[in-house]
Amino acid sequence: MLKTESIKFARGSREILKGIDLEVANGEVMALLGPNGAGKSTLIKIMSGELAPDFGSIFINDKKLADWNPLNLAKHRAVMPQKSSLSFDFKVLDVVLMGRTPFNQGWDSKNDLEIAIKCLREVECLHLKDRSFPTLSGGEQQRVSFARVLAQLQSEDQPKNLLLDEPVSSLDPEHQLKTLELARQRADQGVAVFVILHDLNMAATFADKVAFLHDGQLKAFDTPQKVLTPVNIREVFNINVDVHTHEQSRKLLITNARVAI
Amino acid sequence: MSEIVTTTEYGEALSSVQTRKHKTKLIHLGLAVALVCCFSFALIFGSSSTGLKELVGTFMEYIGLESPWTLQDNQKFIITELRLPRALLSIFIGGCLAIGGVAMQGLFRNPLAAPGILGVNSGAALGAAMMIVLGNAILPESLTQYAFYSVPAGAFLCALVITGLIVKVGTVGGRTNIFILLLTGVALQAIIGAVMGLLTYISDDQQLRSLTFWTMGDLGVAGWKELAFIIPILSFCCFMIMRKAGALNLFLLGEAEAHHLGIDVQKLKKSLIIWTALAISLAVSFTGSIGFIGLAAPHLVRLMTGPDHKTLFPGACLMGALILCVSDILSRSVATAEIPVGIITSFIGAPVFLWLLIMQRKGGGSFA
Repeated sequence: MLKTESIKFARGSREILKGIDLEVANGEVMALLGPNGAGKSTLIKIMSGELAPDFGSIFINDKKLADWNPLNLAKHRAVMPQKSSLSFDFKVLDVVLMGRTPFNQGWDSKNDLEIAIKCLREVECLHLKDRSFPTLSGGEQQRVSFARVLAQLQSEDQPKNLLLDEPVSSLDPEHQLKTLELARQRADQGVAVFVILHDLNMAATFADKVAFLHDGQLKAFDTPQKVLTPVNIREVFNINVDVHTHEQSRKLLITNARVAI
Repeated sequence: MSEIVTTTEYGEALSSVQTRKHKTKLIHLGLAVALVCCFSFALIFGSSSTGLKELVGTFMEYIGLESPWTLQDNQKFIITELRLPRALLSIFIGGCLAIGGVAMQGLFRNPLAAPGILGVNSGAALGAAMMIVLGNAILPESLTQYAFYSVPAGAFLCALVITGLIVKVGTVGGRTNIFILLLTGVALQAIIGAVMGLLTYISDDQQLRSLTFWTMGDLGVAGWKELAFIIPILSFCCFMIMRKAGALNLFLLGEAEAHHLGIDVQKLKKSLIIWTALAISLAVSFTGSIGFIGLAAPHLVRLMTGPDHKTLFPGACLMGALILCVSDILSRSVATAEIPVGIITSFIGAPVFLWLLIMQRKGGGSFA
């Protein structure tokens, strides 16, 4: 379970987050959407402990983030950042095995190898396992990083939490769907999933809850049906859309109207 | 999507992992064999004629056996009191410089980082120079009997201060900026250069000789007393650095990622900087600045066995020891008089550095 209580954060005189309260239950996918510069990445960095908030608290499984020991925390929550900065010549398989480090301190067992192979196959990158990570395309790197995060989620330590910062930003349509399908599947197994997305339809398809972050504040935070309305979307993203309900899946379908420039 | 990993997939991945491990072991073994050969050669090579026979004989007498050859005392003295400590010093210092290089390159996620570039060397040189020139003036009377330790102590403290300063300036909002860091290093080295110039100007002849030794790097000081002091400390520092191999691997993913994978990042950075500064400053405080081993040895080994720190540390340690041992033999053989070993290592190291830059330009920024 992930929870934030009145998170505030400022850089200099610029307030980036002005009091964020949200909660992601286990078994739930929560999608956070918002325009560029709304503070989405700052929020996920604060939730993962990379940045300290100026005010407010973060709870992971009902325990304050600051009270967690780093290693134990890594066993209960995994984070996928927006972009990988790895420039050293590690093999893809080694990168995925790094996700197992919290459990094996870097000394991989046969079980760890099996988990790494399984996760690589789930993201359809098993054929890349002997390639050097920095030579992969941006999309392939993103999928391998996702496999690393999936490998970190594989253990008896419960309950689990997963934070994803734009996990599909470089992916082709097929792998966007497959990646979010995997995240959805993990949620169905009991993981609390918090994901930053840009695509309204992806949020409608995969999320149980949707939050709009606008100007450092949550404008809406509820089920897709309640949040993804033309009025909300116009207010936050400044675009005109039509929202339909798909007949078979009962999921929302959002279509764009042309933007007048 | 199936959850079960097939035996073929597993077997294939396992064999590729094992092939890589096997190759790494072979390379380590090769380096170790080469090091033993060079070490032995360093013991029998020199201006006086003590050959393999004398070496084996001395060794046999040492472990309590009868030597089959008659040995002269001066030959035994040359081997046990001159060449052996010197060869030991060269491999320990070389290994230590390489491990410090690996640690710094990992810490800054940049294969162009090395303790020398980050100011540990010049900081240590400044500290040692201040002790050499001003030590008698500033140390209280009661401490003069510890003068032997004042130069390494000064070098160590100064290296730590300079490295700390560079890291402090190069770290903005909790993130280390490699460009600011390198530029800070350049700026501080200019200041240190000026202070060193001033110290040189006011020093007397004897002090000037000691100072000159700093800019060259020399293994001539080796004696058992020095070895007994530095080998345990260097070994301990290297052990403390090498313990962090697994954490350093994660660190290469990025500071945030290492944190997400359970590493206490601030603690890791602090401990790596402290142990590296201690090891390198202690090493150079006895031998002077020996350049480029910290840069070249890790890079050569990384090219052969990959960037995994669990194999890179031992490999680079062997490589560094080998390079300095060979360089020492060269420094004693290329001219009739002995050349300071720092000159030889820079002769090997500088071209490697250039080659690295050129390869990096060709490779479009991805480091090998």
